Amino acid sequence: MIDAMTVTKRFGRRIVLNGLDLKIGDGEIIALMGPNGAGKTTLLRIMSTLAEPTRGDVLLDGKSVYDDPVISRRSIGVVGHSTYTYDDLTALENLRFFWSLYGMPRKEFEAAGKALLQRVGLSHRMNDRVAVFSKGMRQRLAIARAILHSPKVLLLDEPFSSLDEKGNEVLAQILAEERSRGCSILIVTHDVQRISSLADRAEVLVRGKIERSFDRASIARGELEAGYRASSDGGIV
Amino acid sequence: MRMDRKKLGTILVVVSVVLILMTVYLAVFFAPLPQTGVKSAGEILSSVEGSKLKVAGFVSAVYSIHFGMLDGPDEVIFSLADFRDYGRYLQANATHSLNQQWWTVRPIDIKSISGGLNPRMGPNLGGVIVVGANLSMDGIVTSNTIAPNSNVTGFSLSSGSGNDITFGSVGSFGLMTAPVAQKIFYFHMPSAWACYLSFGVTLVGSALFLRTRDHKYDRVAYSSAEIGIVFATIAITTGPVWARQEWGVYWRWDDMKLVTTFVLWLVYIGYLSLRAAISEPSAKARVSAVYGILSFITVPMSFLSSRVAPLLQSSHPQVIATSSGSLSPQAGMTIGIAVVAFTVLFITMLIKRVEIAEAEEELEELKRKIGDEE
Amino acid sequence: MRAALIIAAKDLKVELRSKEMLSAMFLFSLLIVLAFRFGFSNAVNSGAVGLPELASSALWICFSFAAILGMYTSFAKEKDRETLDGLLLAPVDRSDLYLGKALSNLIVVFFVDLLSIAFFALFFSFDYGGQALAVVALALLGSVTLVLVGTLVAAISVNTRAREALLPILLIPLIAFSVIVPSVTATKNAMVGGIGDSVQQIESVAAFAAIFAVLGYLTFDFVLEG
Ligand SMILES: Nc1ncnc2c1ncn2[C@@H]1O[C@H](COP(=O)(O)OP(=O)(O)OP(=O)(O)O)[C@@H](O)[C@H]1O
Ligand SMILES: [Mg+2]
Repeated sequence: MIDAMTVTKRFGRRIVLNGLDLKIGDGEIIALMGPNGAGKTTLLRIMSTLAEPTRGDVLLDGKSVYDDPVISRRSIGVVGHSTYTYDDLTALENLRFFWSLYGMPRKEFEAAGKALLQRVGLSHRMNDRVAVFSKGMRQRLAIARAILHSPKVLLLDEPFSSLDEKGNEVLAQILAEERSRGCSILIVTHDVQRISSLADRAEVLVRGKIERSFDRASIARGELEAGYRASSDGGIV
Repeated sequence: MRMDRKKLGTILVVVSVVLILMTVYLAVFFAPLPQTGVKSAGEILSSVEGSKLKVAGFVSAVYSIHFGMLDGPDEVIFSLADFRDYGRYLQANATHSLNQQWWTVRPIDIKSISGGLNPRMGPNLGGVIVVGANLSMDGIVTSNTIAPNSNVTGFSLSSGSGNDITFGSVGSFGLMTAPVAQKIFYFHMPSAWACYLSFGVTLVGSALFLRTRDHKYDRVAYSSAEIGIVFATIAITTGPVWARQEWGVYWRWDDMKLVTTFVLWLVYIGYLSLRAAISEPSAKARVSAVYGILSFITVPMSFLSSRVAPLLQSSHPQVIATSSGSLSPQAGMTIGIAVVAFTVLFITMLIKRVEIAEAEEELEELKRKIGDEE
Repeated sequence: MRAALIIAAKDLKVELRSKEMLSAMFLFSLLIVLAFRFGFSNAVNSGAVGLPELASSALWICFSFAAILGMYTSFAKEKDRETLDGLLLAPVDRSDLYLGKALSNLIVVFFVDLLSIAFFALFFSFDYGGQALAVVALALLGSVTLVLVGTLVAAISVNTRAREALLPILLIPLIAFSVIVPSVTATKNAMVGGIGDSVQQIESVAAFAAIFAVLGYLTFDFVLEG
């Protein structure tokens, strides 16, 4: 369970997040939507300890992630705007590097690394350098990288972009598996269609605050689509 | 509250102006020009070891005597400071060095010598004898030959040993009055002090900012760095004015003190460039705080360069180390007031600069508000 | 510490594959030595400048600038390819990241130092005599100090606009008296006599290494925060 409590983030004089609250329970998938520049990526960076909030706190199972960020990071997996992978290493080497960086037992990598690549559908290219990968293949590798340490919290920033149909299915499958493990999942996306079938709840972020929230039932009734469009008409903030 | 602060600011400005004017007055009319070189027999004796006189204690390492003057006046009077500089300068040109020459050093009272030569003829005298790496010289100065605190004002120097003067009387050196440019010292040293103080405040402000993330400390840190650069600039530009008179050159790249202070100045210029190159205010404060801490290592480097085991030599005067004995009471008082004046000036400038920084940020805030309303 | 080694190993592996830093630094040090060869050819041929004096200065100018180039690349690459956040997301102390980066930088920088030392011997027909080892040891010591402060300053400059220009502006004044001046003196002493004359210089460089290591270890955290 991860809980962003009255998070405020200012960049100089600009207030990007303004006392925002967001809670993701165990085994929950939350969609975070909102117009460009609403502060979604900023919130994700704060929740993943990449940036500190100006005010407010982020609790992971009741403890602030900033108390000991190094420990907290063991429980957080992130798929970001970029893939965080090294072009000059192969897919497998990339995973091995992060595997050891996350302090996972070295011996287990042989099996686990291959299994991970299998899950994202890259096992036939595991010894190719990432430099030659297509955008979608990189995104798949980024997903494998994010889940290799079985995090308690998974934060994804526009993960559907650049994935093909098959890739999206793979991702949906992985998200479902991680959810059943009890992982708390936050997905930032603009893709209403895709998220409707996945999310337990959708939150719309506008001007640094959660403006509207849609539960499963209202998403099923198609209210998200209309509501999200109305918020986006507010334009870039 | 606001009113009080304003009042305090005004009072500080008035006090600093008064103190600076007082420093100017004292430096010009009150403090006498110090006499460079040997002061008293007691002081000479302090560096006599056995029968050897450590000339290095008075004249740094090497010095030179005008060879061609042997047929001229009997005595040539040099300022010790002249020796220092000409010695170094001429060493490079000395082709006919008589390195192994022993010199006899004899204490004399130069007041009784008439017809001294203009000591400031400069290094363009020809034919030079250089006493090479020999730092200590054989001398006949012993505790028996000078009574403590007798009025010894100089040395006569002759080649050969004892009375066996091979080339005739070569010269003597001793008490000289410093050039008028010496007065600049009362501004040079306090501004160097104020610049160290400013950069110290930058260090503390930077560290406090990283601890608390309170931008008020960042404002203090960079305000202080800017003021420090002003003081460092004063110190660096007043130095050469003095050096030209005393050493014959404006700048010496082989002097540790000068170059480390120059580097200090460069580092803090770098600090300001760094700030200018980051636009996001909190990143600017955070990253430059780290550099503000790192930069401070150049302060002890500069401050201690002429004291601690130097990597290069330095002939820069060490004021604090020798102030007890070498400064006259008037000079001591003047320098004391000058230091107080510059410290108060620094505090005043810092308060004003921080106020400006606050005003600038307030202005940004107002601009943003206007932007929001549109 | 373990994480530092993992990161250094990754850096070296990437470097061995791409040879980006190495090839740039190789050419750079080659060109600097050549520039000295051509620029000082009159002075050297006429004997106006002694080879040990020239060698010690030329080598340290070469070491310093090649190191600046390398350390700059090492962070700029992570930043530009957006892999830095990946490292920052890992459960690793920032200070380990600092040590890891410093270690990989040191290995690359020292390798280029060795090349420069060889280039100098080659282009100036210079014989290090029995002192080659001392020169190499001094290069290593100086490079340790250089890399410890350079890694921190490179991380500082990577946050900025105009960072290529800013890194030398921020770094050179800091290394002038902590590394370059004492190392040049010690190297020259080693070439003409023995390394034994330079105890003071060696101690000074080592002391600065310790100071920079402590400062880097304590402050690196703040430099890379998002
Ligand atoms: N490092 C930064 N410095 C200054 N402003 C920033 C910084 N990062 C983000 N911002 C500002 O914060 C706001 C929110 O940015 P953010 O990237 O969180 O938006 P987003 O919701 O992810 O948008 P998008 O849908 O386009 O990805 C923007 O106005 C942006 O200009
Ligand atoms: Mg975004």
